[in-house]
Amino acid sequence: MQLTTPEIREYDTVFPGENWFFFWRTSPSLWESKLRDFQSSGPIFIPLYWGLHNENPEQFDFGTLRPETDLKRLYDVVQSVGKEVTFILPITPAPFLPNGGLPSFLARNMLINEDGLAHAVVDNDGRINKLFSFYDPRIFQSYRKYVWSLGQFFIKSGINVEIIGIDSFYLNHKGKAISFFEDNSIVFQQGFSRYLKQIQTDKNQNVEGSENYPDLDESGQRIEYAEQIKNLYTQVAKENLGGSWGGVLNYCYLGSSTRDIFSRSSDLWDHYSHFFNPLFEMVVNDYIPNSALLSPKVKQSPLAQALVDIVTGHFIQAHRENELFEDDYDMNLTSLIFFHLYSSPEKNIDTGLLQYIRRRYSWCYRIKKEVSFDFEEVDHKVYSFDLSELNLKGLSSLIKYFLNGGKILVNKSGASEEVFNRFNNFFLENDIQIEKVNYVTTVEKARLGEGLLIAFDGDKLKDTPTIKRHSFWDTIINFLSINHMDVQADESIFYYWKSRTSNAYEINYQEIRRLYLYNTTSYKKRAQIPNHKNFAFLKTLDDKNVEVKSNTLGVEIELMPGGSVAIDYGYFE
Amino acid sequence: MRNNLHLNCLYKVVEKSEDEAQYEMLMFFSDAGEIHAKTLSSVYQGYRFHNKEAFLFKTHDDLGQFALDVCKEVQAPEVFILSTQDYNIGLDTCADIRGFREIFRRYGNIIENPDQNKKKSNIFNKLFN
Repeated sequence: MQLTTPEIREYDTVFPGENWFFFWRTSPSLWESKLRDFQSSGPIFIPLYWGLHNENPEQFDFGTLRPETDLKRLYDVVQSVGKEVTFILPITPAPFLPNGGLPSFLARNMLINEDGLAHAVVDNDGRINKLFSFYDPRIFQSYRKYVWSLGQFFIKSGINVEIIGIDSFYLNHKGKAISFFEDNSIVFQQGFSRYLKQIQTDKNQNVEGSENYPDLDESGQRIEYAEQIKNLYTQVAKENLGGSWGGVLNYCYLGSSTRDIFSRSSDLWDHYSHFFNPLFEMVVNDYIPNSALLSPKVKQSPLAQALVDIVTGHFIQAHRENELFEDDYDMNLTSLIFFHLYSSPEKNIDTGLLQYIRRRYSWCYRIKKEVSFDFEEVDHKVYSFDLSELNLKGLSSLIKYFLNGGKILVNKSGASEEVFNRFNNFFLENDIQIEKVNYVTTVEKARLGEGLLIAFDGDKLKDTPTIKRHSFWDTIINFLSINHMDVQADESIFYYWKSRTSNAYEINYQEIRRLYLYNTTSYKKRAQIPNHKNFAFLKTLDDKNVEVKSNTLGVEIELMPGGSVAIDYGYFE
Repeated sequence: MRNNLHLNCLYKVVEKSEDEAQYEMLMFFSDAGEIHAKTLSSVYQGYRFHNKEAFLFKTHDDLGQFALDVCKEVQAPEVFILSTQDYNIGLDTCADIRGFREIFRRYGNIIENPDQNKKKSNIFNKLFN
């Protein structure tokens, strides 16, 4: 007689989440049955594990010696069960693989973070994966051989499938995403010294092109060096995998920071609620969250529910196609986004905009890294820029977007003279009226058809008291006419909005918005959603341990410990 | 926090010059979680010599005394203090969680809380602990 609930162990180990399949963790004879039984929507992602195929320095094994390395057999099995497959090739240390994916004969210098701590993570099976520096020239040479052999094997075997490169990231204790390529080990220092010496030699000898070397301080040069080395790895993969190469995706792993190992190695400390905030931070910072490292215990609902709700096939597809956002005109639910912040988070924190958006619109925003958007396809989102971070090309995109009817917020502080003048001249040359107001800071408002541009002097907001700053943004954002529902809940209740266009049975509404609520505590919690003149409560779905009551004031939700629910609202104007 | 859990303090050595170093506390925790920031800040007031946010100490002895003060404050029996260099050496030798949990005990310096030891000497504590 069994007294304990059986643990679904191997299932979780082989399929660690988000349709990933760790094929090396089970016998090749079981691949077919496991893949056949696996319920999923969208493609199966199969990571390529370098260390598995390259156990000794001179030999690559793709099934000749050991059946568990047989990628052709794996490919055929996936085809036979009728699933779509995408192979994943790490271009940085990969935290979900032993030694970060490296063959053990190359695992020499551990990855060191900015505090001098060696980086290791706990995987979903309780093993410690140590991560090693990719700056060792021997590693690069071996990686080149490995990727070449892999490419040749795919061609010879007739494996015709997309291979995506993955740049792996973690969120540090300050909430900043850091690539696992970043390193402070002695190997990095040695490589960096050689790089600096080479630059100096080139400059001294007036080598052609050396006059174009960027003039950077030491930290800038470190970033430049790291970028160049990372590009070498990407380039090697791209060149050797030819037509199969599908570009690079940025994955961020829950529970993978240098410090996470302390909490995750303790049963008393580790709790699923720790991963909610990082999950949403990854989403708004434009990374694909991945839960491959989390143990089955931690991945109990509501975290598992949140991952299913948020990291959908559509979400990943949007990243794969390098779309700005999931397609709005799809009947599928996509993340509800009101703001695209093209300026750095630090700038937005200084002006108080980020804090305001977080409080009023929770996770309905995205922080973008590069100004690369299609200015001709105007949507109802608000785009925020910082003139100090724009060049003339970026400014031109911004102006075109405004001319096409886009809504834009611009911080003018710290702009270069050239950009500043071009920005001001645009309004003069085109005879566009500007309303100027001095409210907390200097604010300029311009309208052109549907287009609305609000420019402000962000420096003056820096030292403004929080309450005054909040009311400033309240006034400014009200001009942008964003209709959104207010959720009144404790900080430990996490919520996320998605939306879709209405279907033929919902013609009274322009849009359907779905609110997901998760109670991450061990206590009963309440949330309230007051009525809004533009929204109608439609239904509740997927309720787990919750009670939902609708009254004249709005909707009241009682969430039991670990409870979660989705609520649909119809939006009309 | 459960007061029968030992504490761990992880620090790094900050090189100021060739012959001068400071010590920065990076993490202070037990198996139940991190020591509350308020507790650490209040104990640190007696050691503060700068305006930075970091928990910096002029000497290794100051760091040790601080660790003991925190230990007394939260009524923990002992604290293991470990530098990042020693942590890295320990991490290199472990393969699983069980091995990882032993790093502070095996490679760290132990400082015992005398107040807790006094309690232990009580006859009833001896019987019931």
